[in-house]
Amino acid sequence: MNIIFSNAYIFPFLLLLALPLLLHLLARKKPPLYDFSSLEFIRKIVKHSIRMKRPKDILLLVLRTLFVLFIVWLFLKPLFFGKGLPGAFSGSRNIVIIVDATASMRYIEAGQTRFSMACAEASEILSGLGKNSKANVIWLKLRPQGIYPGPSLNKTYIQECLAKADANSETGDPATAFELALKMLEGTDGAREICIISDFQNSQWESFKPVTPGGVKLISVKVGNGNAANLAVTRIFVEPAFPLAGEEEKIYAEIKNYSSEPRRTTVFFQLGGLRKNMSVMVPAWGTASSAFRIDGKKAGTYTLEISIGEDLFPEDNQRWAFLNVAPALKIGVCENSKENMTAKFWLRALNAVSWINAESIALNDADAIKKCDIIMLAGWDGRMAETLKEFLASGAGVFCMPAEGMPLQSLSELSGLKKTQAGKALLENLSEPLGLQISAPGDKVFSIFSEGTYGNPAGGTFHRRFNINAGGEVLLRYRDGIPALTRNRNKGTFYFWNMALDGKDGAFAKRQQFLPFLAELLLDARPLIGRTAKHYMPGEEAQLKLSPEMAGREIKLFSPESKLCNIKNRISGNCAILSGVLQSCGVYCWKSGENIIERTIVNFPQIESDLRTVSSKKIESFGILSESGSVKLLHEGLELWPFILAAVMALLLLEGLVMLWAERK
Amino acid sequence: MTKNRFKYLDPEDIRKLSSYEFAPKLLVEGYLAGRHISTSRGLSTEFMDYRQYAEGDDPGMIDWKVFARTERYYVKTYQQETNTCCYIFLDSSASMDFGAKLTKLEYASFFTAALCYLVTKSDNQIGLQIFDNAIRHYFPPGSTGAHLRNLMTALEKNSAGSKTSLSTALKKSFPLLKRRGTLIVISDFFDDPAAIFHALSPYLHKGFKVYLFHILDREELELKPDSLTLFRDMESGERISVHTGEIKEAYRKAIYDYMDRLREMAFLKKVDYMAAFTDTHYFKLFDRLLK
Repeated sequence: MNIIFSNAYIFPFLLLLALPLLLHLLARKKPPLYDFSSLEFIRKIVKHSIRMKRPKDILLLVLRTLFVLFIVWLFLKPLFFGKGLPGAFSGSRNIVIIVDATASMRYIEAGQTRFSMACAEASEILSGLGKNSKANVIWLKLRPQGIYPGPSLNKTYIQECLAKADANSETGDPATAFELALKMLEGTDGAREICIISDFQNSQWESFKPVTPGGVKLISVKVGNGNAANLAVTRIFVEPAFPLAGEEEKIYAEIKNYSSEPRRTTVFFQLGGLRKNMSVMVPAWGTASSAFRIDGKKAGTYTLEISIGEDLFPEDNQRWAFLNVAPALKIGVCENSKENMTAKFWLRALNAVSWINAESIALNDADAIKKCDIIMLAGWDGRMAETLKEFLASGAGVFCMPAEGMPLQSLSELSGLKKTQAGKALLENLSEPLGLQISAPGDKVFSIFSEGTYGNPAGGTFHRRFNINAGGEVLLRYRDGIPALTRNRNKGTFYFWNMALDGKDGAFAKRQQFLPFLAELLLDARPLIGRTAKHYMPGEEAQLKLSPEMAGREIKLFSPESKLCNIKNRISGNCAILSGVLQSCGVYCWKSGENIIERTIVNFPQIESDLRTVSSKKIESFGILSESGSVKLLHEGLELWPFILAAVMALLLLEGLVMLWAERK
Repeated sequence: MTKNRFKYLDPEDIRKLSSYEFAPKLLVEGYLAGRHISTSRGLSTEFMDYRQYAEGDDPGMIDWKVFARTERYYVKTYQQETNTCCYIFLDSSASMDFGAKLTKLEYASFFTAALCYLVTKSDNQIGLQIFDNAIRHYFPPGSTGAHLRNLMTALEKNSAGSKTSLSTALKKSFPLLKRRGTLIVISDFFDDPAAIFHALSPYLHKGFKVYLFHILDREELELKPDSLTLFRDMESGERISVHTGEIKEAYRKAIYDYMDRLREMAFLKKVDYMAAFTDTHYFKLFDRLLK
């Protein structure tokens, strides 16, 4: 705490403090002389009453001395610096103001956004700087950026920028912004300060732990409060995730309530010309989902939009998603010469299904594998394990019929078993034909067989099989307990196929229920993740890779408001890559002429929807926490003269009261 | 006595005093038989007591009625009537000089003069002692005109002296008073009451009838209007600056308490006490003295 006196030359006037004392001692009124017969009684009375009188005199003397002290103090014009920042008197200063421009700053409080408050605060700080002081503003967003490369003397321009600026829908990176601020202050002379003006949103600042080097002061100014209630559309998902043409779908919208009270809202669904809505009650700090059923669509990519009713923070009230309806499942069958019968039976069956586009591919053709939705390995010997793992991780499905002699370790790794097995896969000739049993009758793949219309999927007998336990969920098993069909579902779905299809090994493939059962299995093995275009967040850079044949065309990027966006063009290998920064939420279109080449969705960052702020204690751990509107005071100091004047008036009043009391006494 | 011959005794007062007679109710020792009751037994008509006849007694004094009843000789004794002796103690300390129109000393002098005249007029003896902290003038008892003139002259020439010490004056005077009689003390009693009554004890023991006249000015009771005043003690010259408004009530209470104390102690000692204010006529004091 510091106090600086603007008119320090008045200090000698403190000698005036002696004035009331002198007045008290010398300026007593000379009373008239009166001869009296005897002062015996008066002396006794005065001796008694002097005890009463003396405190009054002392009190008056103290009051009058304080009065003079305060009067002198008043003329000294003291300035109070609460947290030790008398920078205005210590020459030049360099201050970098980090203004939070993230989406949460768009929340409206008391008729204005938090961002407006922050800009006003920053402008106020700038106006309090001296002529020799340098300043700069860093916008805190996904990629923090300063108005100037470093602190500048031209504060007027910064104030103009602050006046024109608007928050965006981006999330922020406080650590990078802080590092940038520190970098800007490096090598500067004079006092160095970093001022962070933000709502200090809990989800963003909780993990922020700044390390402030010596000589740099960090001041935090909090705008807004943490009581902001908000409803947000946080997620859209489709079931099934990989719909096929003509298949009925369900669109789920997840609504989250960021407030301590349950709230009702209306969820609006839009798909092309199709509009639906439903009311939903969202519990406090909880989520609720709304499901919209849509009829089978033709193959193609559709843009979905989910929105909710308006609130004080409308940024996150909308969300978009692509609905990719595939014309058919693309299945690649990799055959091994030893197991060509299995591949043959599979292909024959798959070709009979209209919504399946099956083809035989070579196992070592990685590109061909990646283009498929499901890979069926007939007699897999353990090759291309990494490619297949990546394929599985992308959410796709893999059916694996091992080849004799395949290392079991490869099978374990591909299936995702934590416990790997040693040895090799060996075929076992059964002395007697062995039938199958359904191990999980309630599973979805058996649902159409439950009524008996399509027969028994576990019908048929086998003469040969692998005596392997591949782990996972057993769907079918031999009557002696050895698994015949197991499923491991992680990111993708892995099926272990232990059922020989060759006629000499069994009659399973010849039965009529084989085809519907296989089709059900393939529907179940569909990719779990819809193959849609990448979803971006505001501030991110979208990229479009152009094929060589597209390289010569003029491609443009249009924002959701149909405004042309700036794009960059670079060449990588034989491909041209276009990139453009996506500023706002919505659906962006890459166009070549009037043709839409690709759509890009930019959704609101979920992290910004939770408007709760970190505690003051946490903010104080960063550095000095200043109240809104008091940073200027922190630098310029608080003028104490109104308080001193009030004290002087109070002293006068007090003296009057004491005098009145004495008179009455 | 010629007209306006004395300052403190004018013809008008003399005329008024003709209706008064000095007759304090006390036993006196005197040389004139007849006027006042004397403690000495002798020839008189006022019966006092019986005693057994002794050789040398006049046989005519034997009470034969008693002899008839008791067959013993008893003689009657009678109280002797004589003239009385009055002693006036006049306080002439500096404090007695207080008073705006009439000082306390002047007031006391008027009263003393009238009393002297009244006593000598009735052939009683009057003695006067003027004191402050010591005996300044002493006039032994006398009843002649010349004695009265001396007293009047002394009163006229008298002026306020220094500090009051009534108790000292009383102690020093006691050996001078040969005959018992009436002791009249006229003072403002600015002394310790206990010391005063202690000094009066020998007089009371000897049989003096004591009267205390407390002379006061009204301004001694009610201090001047509220203002800061520098008081100077008329006796010691001491100065005190005080706001009269602040101590007015306390002072009044103190002075009344003092008077009450004097009155109470006087009552216990069977002494007559009277407060006399200078704004009232001193003739009123005679009502108390001569009743």
